[in-house]
Order: sequence, then structure tokens, then C-alpha cells
Amino acid sequence: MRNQSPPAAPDEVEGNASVNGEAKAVRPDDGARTAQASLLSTWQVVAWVAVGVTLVALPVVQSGFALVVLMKIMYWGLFATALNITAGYGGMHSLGHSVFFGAGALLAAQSFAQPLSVVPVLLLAVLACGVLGIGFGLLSIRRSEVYFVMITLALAGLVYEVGFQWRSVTGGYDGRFVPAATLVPGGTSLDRVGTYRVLVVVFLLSMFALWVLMRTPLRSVLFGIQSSMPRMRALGYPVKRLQLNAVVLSAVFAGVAGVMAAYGDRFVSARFLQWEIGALALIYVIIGGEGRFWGPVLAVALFVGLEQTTGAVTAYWHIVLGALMILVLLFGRAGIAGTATAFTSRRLSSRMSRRRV
Amino acid sequence: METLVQQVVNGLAIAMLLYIVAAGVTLLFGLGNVLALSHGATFIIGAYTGWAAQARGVGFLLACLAAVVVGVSSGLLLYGLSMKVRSDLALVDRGLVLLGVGFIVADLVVVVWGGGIRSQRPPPFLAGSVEIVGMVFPTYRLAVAGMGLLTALVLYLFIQRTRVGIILRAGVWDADMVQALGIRFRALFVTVFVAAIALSSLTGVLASPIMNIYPGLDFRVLSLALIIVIIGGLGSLAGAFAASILVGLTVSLGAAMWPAAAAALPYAVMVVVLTVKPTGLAGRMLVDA
Repeated sequence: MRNQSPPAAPDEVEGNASVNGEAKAVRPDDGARTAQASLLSTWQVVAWVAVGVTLVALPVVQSGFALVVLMKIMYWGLFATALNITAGYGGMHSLGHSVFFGAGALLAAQSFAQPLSVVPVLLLAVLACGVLGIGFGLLSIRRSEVYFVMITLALAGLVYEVGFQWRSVTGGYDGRFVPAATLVPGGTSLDRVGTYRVLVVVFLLSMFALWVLMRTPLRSVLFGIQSSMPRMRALGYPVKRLQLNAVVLSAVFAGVAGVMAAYGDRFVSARFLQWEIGALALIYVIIGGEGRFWGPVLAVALFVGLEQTTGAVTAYWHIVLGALMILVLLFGRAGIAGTATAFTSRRLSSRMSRRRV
Repeated sequence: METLVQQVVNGLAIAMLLYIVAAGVTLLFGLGNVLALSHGATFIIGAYTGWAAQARGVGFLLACLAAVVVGVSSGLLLYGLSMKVRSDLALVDRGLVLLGVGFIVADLVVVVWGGGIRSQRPPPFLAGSVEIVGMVFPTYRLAVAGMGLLTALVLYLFIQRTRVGIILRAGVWDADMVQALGIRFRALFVTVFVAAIALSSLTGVLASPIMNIYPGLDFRVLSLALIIVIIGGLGSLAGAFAASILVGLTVSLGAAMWPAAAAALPYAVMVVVLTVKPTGLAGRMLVDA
């Protein structure tokens, strides 16, 4: 039997069944009240707003380079967090999320007949990635997780080949410049500070939405599916539909991250569709701690920050990251966030054993 | 007409090369539930090793040997990483470890050999062309196609007619039961693992006169191999053979007839097969995890 220890949450009471092995008949809509007192406390809202205000006000004291680094951290962080939904929470390690990230970025790069401002572009990206996510999910969720990994990899390859050839849209391998973001259709282009502030708002709104979602029963349900699909089916959950929902949700936010990347870097190319982009996001997820909400962002902040400030050569850097992922996989999957949690709570996380039937 | 037949031969050569890689992937999965996401990496390392050796004047056959040596060492290393360090590692995690290796190698080849495209001429004793029934064929591609078919035949006979083959087939079906019967399956599995990886490196050298070597080749070969495995069915060698012929011909004829879409065609075939028959042409039924 192959066992696995996914991340546990020592600071919350789990409303699901794994602790004593029995299945409890939990209706999907009363899990939130069982799991914690409330979805959102006043202090948490204050914290979110405080972070938002600080980030938006930052350009007053910080120079352009810090803003560039922060923008990179934000879009990679959102991308990795979105991937965490399928890979960490859902247990479906998708190697194809470069499709959604690239689609969002390429959408933002297009010059439409009528110039579009930020909000319509975002809405378009959400719609496009939602549709792509449904197609993706329907093809890949069919059988076991092994097939899922293989098919997502192959689909990423397919989209890359198409994008590589479709030079009018992607600029091929050489890429193309992205028109600056505008707040109003046909309005003035935003400068770097303005773009940064818009990205902060988009980032915080997206992360907040995902954060709230992962405090609902959805989190337990996804962990449950990862833990034992037959058990969840026996409990009456529509497992395949829930998996598809997870894929579409993460696809949409990966697309939003792609839009952010395009506006932040002002440059896109077919390289955004390469599998290495999706693999890199997966590496951040694993190093940060799968299934832990802030794990990927922490990993991104640390490594992207280091990469940008030390000027590390990209190829060597990727080698280091790949090696780190292997180490995390081999020696406990707590990752950065998991180790921090274990450290601060001073007790061993309970290990849910996961058996594959 | 002649062009068509030449493209078919070219397609068969590519098909046979891809078959060896895909056979390794499907066999490793069938035997040990290992998702060999590093096969593209070992392929490209073999290709670069062979190219670097021949660039220094080493003969073709010695270059092949060098690639095999590199392949065997990589195989042992990868086996140790994915199976021995943490023996209770879940299936997908093992695959992700191998993926991590693939990710590292993808950048490693750029660091070591640079990002340019390398081309390789066929060895002198297989260079040039031959004339058969009035049509001209490049000798090397004919040789590769023929050698590949021979390998496939040998593999088939080995699996079907020898005792070791029976054990392998039984292992694909139920590895635990084979061990329960007292057969030393672990040793056999390690041998197959290392052999599959060494073969993929060797295929890299053999493929270099036909395909140019460039930093993205590992992903291209890996995804083609995965497409073949998906179309043919995980765990089925016969399915992989049929699928590789299909994919090889698609790549070759597609490049000749519809260059813009040629790269995407194998994927399209995979999507069609997936929607119609998800287990693949000849795949065994996999129980949902």
C-alpha cells in the first residue's frame, strides 16, 4: 500500500471523517459552522485592509525597482496559489497551468479594435480561462491521477505548439510588447506606479476571494477527495464535478495572474505557454507547502525576491529550485509554510494517512 | 509517389525511435507504477553526450557506448532518488521527483552546451543513400527504421516467449502476487528500470542525425512519448507500437504536407482518441485511485 502524509491543519478542528476512520454524514453546508466559529473575523478584515493600504501607499517611499519586484512576486504568487487549489488542496498535480497563465497574458497583450481597459480585459480572461478550464478538466479528470498528470502535460505541449505558430497573437518565440493598462477605455495609459497600484488591487481581491473560499467546506471536501475518493462518493459528493470545479477555479485565477504579468512586465511571448512556467509554479507550490494557503506566496516572495535582488542567472536558479523541490518531496512535504506552522505550534502535525485503493 | 514513400520511411524511422522511448515509459509504469517523466531528459543527455563525443572525433559506435554508460549511471541515480531514499513515497510524488530531475536537466543542458541547435551527420558507414526499386532513400533512416523494427520484434519475442518475459507480464498484471510466489521481482525491476533509461539515452544518440538537438527537445520527445503511451494504453507494449507508428507517420507526413500544423497534429490525435476511447487502443483497465 502506498501511504502519503498530506499537510494537516493543527490549528483547526476538522469536520470531516479522517481522524477515527469512520464516515460521518456531514451535509456540505454545515461544515463551515462546524469547522470554525466564523468565516471572517473583524481582526482579519482589518489585517487585509491594512496590508492593502500599505502596499498601495508604498510607491511614496519606494523606488521603481522595488515596485517591479513586488509586481513579479504578486503575479507569480497568485499563479502559484491558484495552482495550489488543484495540486495542493485537490491533489491533482496539473502540469498544464501554463495554458491559463499564458492565455491571460496573451489576452492582455492584444490590441483590440476598440482599446480595452483593465476591467474588461480581466473579465475576458476570466471567461476564456473558465472555458479553457472546463475543456481541460473534462479531458484530464477522467481516470486516475497518473493520467491527469500525463494529459495535462501533453495538453500544455499542444497549446504551446499552437501558440508558437500563431505569431499574430503571441509574437511567437520573440514575443511582443504589451500596451500599457488603462483604467478607462481609451483613457490615459498608466505609468509604472499606476500599474503597480492596479495590480495590488487585483492581487488582493483575488487572494482574498481564494482565501475566503479555502475557509469554507470546499477545503475539507477537496482534502477529502484527495484522501479517499471512494469514501467521498459513498458520502454522496459528486466527486468528478467537484474536481472539475477546482480545476476551473484555479484556471480562472491563473488567467488573472497572467493578465497581471502582461501588464507588469509589458512583454509577452509564446514562452509564457511553455511547460516550464507551469512546472515552476508547481515547484513554488511544493516548496511553499502544498495545501497550505500562504505557502506558495511565501516561497514566491522568498525565491523571486532573491532572484531579482541578487541578479542570479536564470538557468542556474532553476536548477537550484528543481533540486529544492526534490528535497522537499523526499524529506517530508511540509514545505516552508508547513515547517513554520509546526515550529510555531510546537507540536507534531497529526498525520492523516492516505491510502490509494 | 517517391516523396510519399520517402516520407513514410522517415516516419517509420521516427516512429521506431519514439517507440523505444515510449516502450520504456509504458513498461516502467506497468511494472512499478513509475511515471517516467524524466525520459525526455535522459534522451537529450544521451543526444548531447553523443554529439559532444563525435565532435571530439570519437567514432559513432563509441559515442553510442558513451551514451549507454551515461544512461546506466543516470538510471541508477534516478532509481535511487525515486525508489530508495523514501521507499514509501506515493506514486505521484515519485513522478514529481523525476519531473524535478527533468526540469533541472532542461536548464542544465543550456548551461553545459549552450542554447543553440546542434546538428549531427550520420556515421560514415551509414551515410549516403541507397536505391531500392528505383527510389532513393537515405541509408541512415532505412537503417534506423529497420533496426527499430528488429528491436520491437526482439522485445516482443522476449516478452512473449521467455521465462523472464512471463515474469514481466505477470508483474505488470499483479506485482505483489509475483513476489508472493517467491520470484525476486525487485532485482528484475531495477534491471528493467536502468535498461529503459539507458535505452532512452542510446535512442538520443541514434536520433541525432534525424532530429536536430536543441534545448527544448527533451520536452518534445517526452510529450510525444506520453501521447504514444496515452493513445496506446498505459502498460501495453503492442498498443505503444501501433501508436508510435501512428504518431511517427503523423509527424513525418504532417511536416511535409501541412508544416504549420504539423507539430500540433499528434496532440490532436491524442485528444480524439481520449474522447473516443479513454483507456487507449489496447490499454488495460486502470482502477480509479
